[in-house]
Amino acid sequence: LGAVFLLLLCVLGAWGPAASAPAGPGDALTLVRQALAALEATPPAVSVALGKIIQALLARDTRGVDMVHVQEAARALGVQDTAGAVAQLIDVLLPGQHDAALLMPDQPHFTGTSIEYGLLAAAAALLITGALIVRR
Amino acid sequence: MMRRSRGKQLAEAIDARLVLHNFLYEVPGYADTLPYLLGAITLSGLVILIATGILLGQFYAPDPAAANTSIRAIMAGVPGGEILRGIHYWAAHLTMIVLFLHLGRVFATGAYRFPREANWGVGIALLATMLAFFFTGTVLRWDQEAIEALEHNVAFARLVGVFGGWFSPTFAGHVPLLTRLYMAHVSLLPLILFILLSAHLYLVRQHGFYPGGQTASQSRYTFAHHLFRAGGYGCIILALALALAVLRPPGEGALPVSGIEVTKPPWLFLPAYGLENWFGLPGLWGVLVLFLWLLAVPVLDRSRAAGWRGRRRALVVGAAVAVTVISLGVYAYLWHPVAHIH
Repeated sequence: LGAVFLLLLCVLGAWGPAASAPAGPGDALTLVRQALAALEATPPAVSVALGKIIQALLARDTRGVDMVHVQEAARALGVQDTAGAVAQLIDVLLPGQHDAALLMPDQPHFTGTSIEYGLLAAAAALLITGALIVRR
Repeated sequence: MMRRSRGKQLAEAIDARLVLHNFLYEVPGYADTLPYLLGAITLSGLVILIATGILLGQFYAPDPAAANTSIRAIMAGVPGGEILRGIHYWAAHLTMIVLFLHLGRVFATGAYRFPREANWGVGIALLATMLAFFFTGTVLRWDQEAIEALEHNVAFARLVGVFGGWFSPTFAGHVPLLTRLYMAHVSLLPLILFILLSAHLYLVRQHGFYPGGQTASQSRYTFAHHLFRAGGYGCIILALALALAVLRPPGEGALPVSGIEVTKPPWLFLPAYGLENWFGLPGLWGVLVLFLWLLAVPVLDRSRAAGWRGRRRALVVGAAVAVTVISLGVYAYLWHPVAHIH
């Protein structure tokens, strides 16, 4: 039944407007965002970011972009200062509609608070309960 | 005495209406061992995923403009939200591991053969459904990894033509694809899962547990006991997911941007990613070939031998496929991210 339903959805989709491949954006703002995404990847894709920054520097459409920061980012990458380049690129984007926090990954870590240890104790209790049930 | 009598009366009243004594049917003793409990443990993992997923769904905004922000709000603003998300995330990984072990056990024991071919097919459909759950869940994060997964989805949809229609952004131009994938994650896929799972459990009940060379002389116990033990393993999965949620909480990436590929998919999809590294996007046909082979396994292996002996060819082929898939995954894990679309 599920497969038939999915098939129906697929066929319905085929009758929709034809899909077209999006053209690659050449505006500096998008290129700067792409460079930032490349630098925030794990591990940072520095060569990809550098390519995007160079494209941004050559872009005709530089609306909403402070090109001085882009140049600074390129300079930072030139001396392998990835963190400095990220900071410069965020400065490029900040005057727009973006929240600075949203431009950075949010990665929480174990910090050893009492709540965290309490949760670990709860996990241990669950583990023991499960083991007791399994061994019955 | 009176209290016990009333308790017994209540139990009888409930049983008369819900017919719970049907769960007390006897199953062979070997069904009490871990390899034969893997399917029921997967079910326990699903219960955890459904419960945490329902709670997370209350705070998630399935819109490209708000999705990333809503996940950060779940982590920072919802009491217990970060832990809840962590449990959902890790329980999904653990459940998939148990599911693969279950698949491996069924294959290794030859439990897909007559008269269980149909149930094997249902199981493979369940595997595909679970992978779809995992994929849509990855996209819902709406970070760079998510948008790249979505772009692969759209590109592959173009490749398969008619059959990729629903996955195209133009299927419903006024509704973002993210919103439709959320709908799939919380309603379409659960519906398919429910139907397939019902069929799977019904067929297990009808055909019984496959002996796989085990002797029937071992002690017998009831299906209720089987479920109870699976619940125990469910507690262990929940404990592991909770501990991992505390020690290794899942993060949230930055706002995504399209037109760039700098991430790699979760471990489940790394073998497919490895194929893409070699053959480009058409490499994803390899996944379809793998599933077709899995579906064809009962047709290809018609041996009647019980247990391991007499099934050497099937086991060698199965091991070769498993080694190939794992090798592709390891290769993709070690290799740097590659642009397949842009």
